[in-house]
Amino acid sequence: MSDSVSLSAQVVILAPFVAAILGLLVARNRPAGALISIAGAAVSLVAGAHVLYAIHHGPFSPEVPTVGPLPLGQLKMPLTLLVDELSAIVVVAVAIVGLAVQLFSQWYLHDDDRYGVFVASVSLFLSAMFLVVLSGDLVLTLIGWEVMGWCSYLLIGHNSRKESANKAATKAFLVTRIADLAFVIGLIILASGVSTTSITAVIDGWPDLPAASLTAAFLCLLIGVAGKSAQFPFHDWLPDAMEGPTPASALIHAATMVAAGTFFLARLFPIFVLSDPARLALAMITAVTMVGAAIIAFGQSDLKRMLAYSTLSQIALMLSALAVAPASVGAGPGVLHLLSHAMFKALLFLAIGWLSVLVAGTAAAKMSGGVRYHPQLRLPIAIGLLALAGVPPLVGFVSKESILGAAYDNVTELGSLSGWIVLVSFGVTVVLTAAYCTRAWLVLTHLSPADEAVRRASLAASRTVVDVSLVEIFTEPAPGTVRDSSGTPGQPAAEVEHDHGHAGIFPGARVSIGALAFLSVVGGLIIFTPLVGVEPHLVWGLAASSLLLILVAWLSVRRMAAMNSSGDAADFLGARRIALFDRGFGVDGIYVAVVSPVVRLARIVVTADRDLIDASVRSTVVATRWAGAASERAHTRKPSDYLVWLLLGLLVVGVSGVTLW
Amino acid sequence: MILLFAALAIPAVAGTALILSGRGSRPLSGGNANMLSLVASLATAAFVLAAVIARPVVDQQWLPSLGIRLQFAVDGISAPLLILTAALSVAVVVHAGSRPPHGGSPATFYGCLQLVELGALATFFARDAIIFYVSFEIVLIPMWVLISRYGDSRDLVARADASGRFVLFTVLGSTLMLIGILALVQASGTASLDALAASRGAGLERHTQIIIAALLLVGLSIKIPVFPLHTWLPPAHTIAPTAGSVMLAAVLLKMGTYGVVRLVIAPLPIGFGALAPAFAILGVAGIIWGGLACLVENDLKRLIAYSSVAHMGFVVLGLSSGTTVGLQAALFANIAHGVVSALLFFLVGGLKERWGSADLATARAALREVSPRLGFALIVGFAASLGLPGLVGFWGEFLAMYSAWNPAPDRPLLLMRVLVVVAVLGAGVAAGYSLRVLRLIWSGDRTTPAHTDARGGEWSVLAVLVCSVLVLGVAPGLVLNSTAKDVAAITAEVSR
Repeated sequence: MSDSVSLSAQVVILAPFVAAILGLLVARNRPAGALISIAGAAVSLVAGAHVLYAIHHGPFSPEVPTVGPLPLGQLKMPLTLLVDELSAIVVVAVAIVGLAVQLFSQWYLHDDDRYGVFVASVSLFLSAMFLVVLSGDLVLTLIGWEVMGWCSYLLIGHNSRKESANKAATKAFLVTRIADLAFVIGLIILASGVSTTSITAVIDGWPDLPAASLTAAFLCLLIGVAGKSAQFPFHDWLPDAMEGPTPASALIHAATMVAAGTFFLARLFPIFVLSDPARLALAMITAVTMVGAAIIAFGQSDLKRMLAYSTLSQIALMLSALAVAPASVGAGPGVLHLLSHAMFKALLFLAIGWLSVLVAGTAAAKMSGGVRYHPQLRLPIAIGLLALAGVPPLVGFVSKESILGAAYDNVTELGSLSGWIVLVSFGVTVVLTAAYCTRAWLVLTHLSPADEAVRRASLAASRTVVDVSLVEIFTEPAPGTVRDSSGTPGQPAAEVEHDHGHAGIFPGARVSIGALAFLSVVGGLIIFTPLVGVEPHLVWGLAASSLLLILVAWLSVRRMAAMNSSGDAADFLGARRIALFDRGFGVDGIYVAVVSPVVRLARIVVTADRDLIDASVRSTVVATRWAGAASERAHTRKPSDYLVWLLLGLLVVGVSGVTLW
Repeated sequence: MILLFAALAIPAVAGTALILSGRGSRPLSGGNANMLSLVASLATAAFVLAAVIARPVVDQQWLPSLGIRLQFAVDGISAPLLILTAALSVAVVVHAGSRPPHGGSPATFYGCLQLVELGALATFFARDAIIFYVSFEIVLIPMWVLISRYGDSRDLVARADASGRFVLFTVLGSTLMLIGILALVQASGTASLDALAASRGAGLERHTQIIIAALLLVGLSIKIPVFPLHTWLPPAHTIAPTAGSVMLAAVLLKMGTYGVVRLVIAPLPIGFGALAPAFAILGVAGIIWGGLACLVENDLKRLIAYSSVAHMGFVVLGLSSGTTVGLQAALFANIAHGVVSALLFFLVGGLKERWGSADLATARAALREVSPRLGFALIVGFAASLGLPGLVGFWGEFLAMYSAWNPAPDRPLLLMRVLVVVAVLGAGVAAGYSLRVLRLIWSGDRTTPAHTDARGGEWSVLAVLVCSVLVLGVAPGLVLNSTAKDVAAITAEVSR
């Protein structure tokens, strides 16, 4: 039994990895690429399901070897995988989303000439995510972590002919990479304490080590987590990442990579819980992000970007669960929300992606009334938005309420500051989330063709997506930079337009949306089965009050929308404010402020390299020439001069002979 | 023993024959010279591989009056470097077959490459300090010929300057190294590297060790190169032909770090320990300095040269830590940089020939659009260059930082940890310049001026290197297991 679990765990990672390599080799052959990529994800799902089943039915060895330990003297680096309930259930969830995305891509990108490369990158990405989830070694976590970042660079920049996609990709990678620098230091500190990179050894060993070092390590790790999970102040790469094709957004920017931080902290929860300062820092970061992102989400003129901001907010929710859950509760609530968010957010992205093909754009103006014209989308989108808002009995309700329960336990048991911070910001976020979900639904169901033209004109100005990339300042802006500011109707804001002649949706894509919708509904019940291995903890009084808040938000947004001819509640903000929301309140400016001094410093370095360091080298040439010329001049070719030199020399020898005797 | 001599004799004979032919009235044609050179390199590679497996030892009396013995051997530390040298020697010949050299007789060009290979192999085989020095010097003149005669001929003054710099810097470095070697041999009474390593500096006063170590370190630092002795490298790379750049970056620089391990760390642990903090500071300064220069450098070949300075900085950091992890990291990073810089210089050399220059400010066709193979190799090369985990560049950097965070007990802990924090920032800068290059030449929608994609010999070389980057990145044990035993023997004594 144990061997088959090990084998399945290895297969989970290897299958998409092999699929990525094979996919690259056959990149030009569309059917082969589709087959390989879908098969890779399907094999992972089957193997992952087997792992999940097997560990609940019989003994197994949790440590699974990979490429073997590395010989590094005092540092032990076993490079093993760690199979347990936590990793198994997350593997299955990721595999479900991954398979759905691969099926959906086959349709969504069916007229894209780089389909093969795209799905190969998605396969590689999946492999890296599985590695993070199954990793039992800090180094393996780091490898998966960074490879995901690189894949997201490739996927966001998939349409590399488009300047804005290139900028968004570069920004995403640089921001996460810079955050990861601290992450690397954090990992080094953790490994140094116990002279091994094995996660089980780290968890066993650190409780006996100085708490200050532990806090230092976790503060570093938190920076990395904040970068990868797009938390304040690193969050701004994620909305821009919506430049990527929608399947990539669904996979990376909803279900997996951004949730990797949650998973990693959940993995280390037994020692994370020992560091109160680090937990307080996380509580503050997540409180700012969950509220701030929810506010910004409400004012987005582009629904795909609205989903991106809602992702920020929801990831902050899961992380906040880890910041407050008492040791007795454990990482369960955060992981639950990770699982449920993966389902309903992937569903929402794929459904919105489907709709964007049908209406040729993702801007709210384009999508207005979308589900009325395309009723096949009504149910999936409704399920997704209800789950996102946390309405019972959908999966989002159960997972959110267990976070609320964890925060409540914290306040009652520990009474710590972080508990209160999270509890209050959670309440605010519930209202805001319900508000933007209501707004999106009302926009999508709005029907008034007569007003269409008027509203489009008023929104035209606000549809600009301003991308101030970090690299912008490295180079002069290329002439003819493409910006989505044309404002003409029919120009989607965030994504390249698909032809109206796009083929009807493939059965595979339709099934994958259906499956995600199904899981979003019944997931709430699955959570209560032993399969998930997490006991949801609901505080019914709090649940009731959050439902009340949702109801209030629903009613007021409806009222706002009804008073507005466009049916878009956000139009209350006015075009100028919406433009401000679309820019995410200009957080980009912080990044530019960080990067421009570096570039200035780089220019100084280049100058110094030439005029200081190399100048000293060149000066030896000048000095040699000068010495040569001087000695040349000394040789006057007059015997009398030479005689003087000779006498002088004799004198020196004589004097030194006498004095040094 | 025959394996060892064959591995050295073939490039010696082939190189001499090719150069004589190049000097003759009827030199070999480019194709024939390439073919002869290819056969010679392949045969050499086969013998090197056999020698690495069989591990022969040669130890014979040579110049008894000077106490110099003809000592050659292969151990775990030199084995990966020998394979790298032999493999890249084949690769440069294959690559030159599809992109022939300009500027002089092809026979001389290939002859010089053979001699460079001879010198590099002999350096890594040598077990006698004097022979090490002699081998080290064999490389110099052929490389000078490659740069000064076959280099970029658009600016003859720059070419003369670059080749002159290369020779003068390197000769200065070797002279200091020679003095250091002579002092070392004099003080310890043996020139055998094995005996020196076994003696572990016993019987040498602390200050003697420090003086000798300083001489050797300065001399070898020029070769590595360590900041601020690096200013010969960017011009040399910019001017050198592709084959020259590859051998220079991937093989010659490694001779410097290899020398540090053999001549300084093993025989002079106390002296090196005293100088290690300064050495580490300069290494980390190089990481930042080289990385920042890359952020604004507009000549692609210069840019990669500066990135080499940064990467060698991580090697220096690992060496300075004085631990097994650090030494393993340095030796791995050495190989990693050899593979990655070879890949990048093959790529950029090919691009420069296509573009006519390596200037980044000029608008070019996006590689992804017009030449997907070159584009793919470029993206792998720069991903490895920025130290992406899972590729070959990662292990050396990560382990070097770990080792410096936990240095040997006699190193200043706080300083080393500060250096790690600075070095990690350098890794961030590396991401910045790598993405900058990708954005300038890989992505975009320009398709003019069109150029051909890599095919034939050029593509096979690039493909093999891309695979090596991936394989060594996934299975670093291939190198680390080879070096582990001999590294443990060295550090056991360093930490004592």
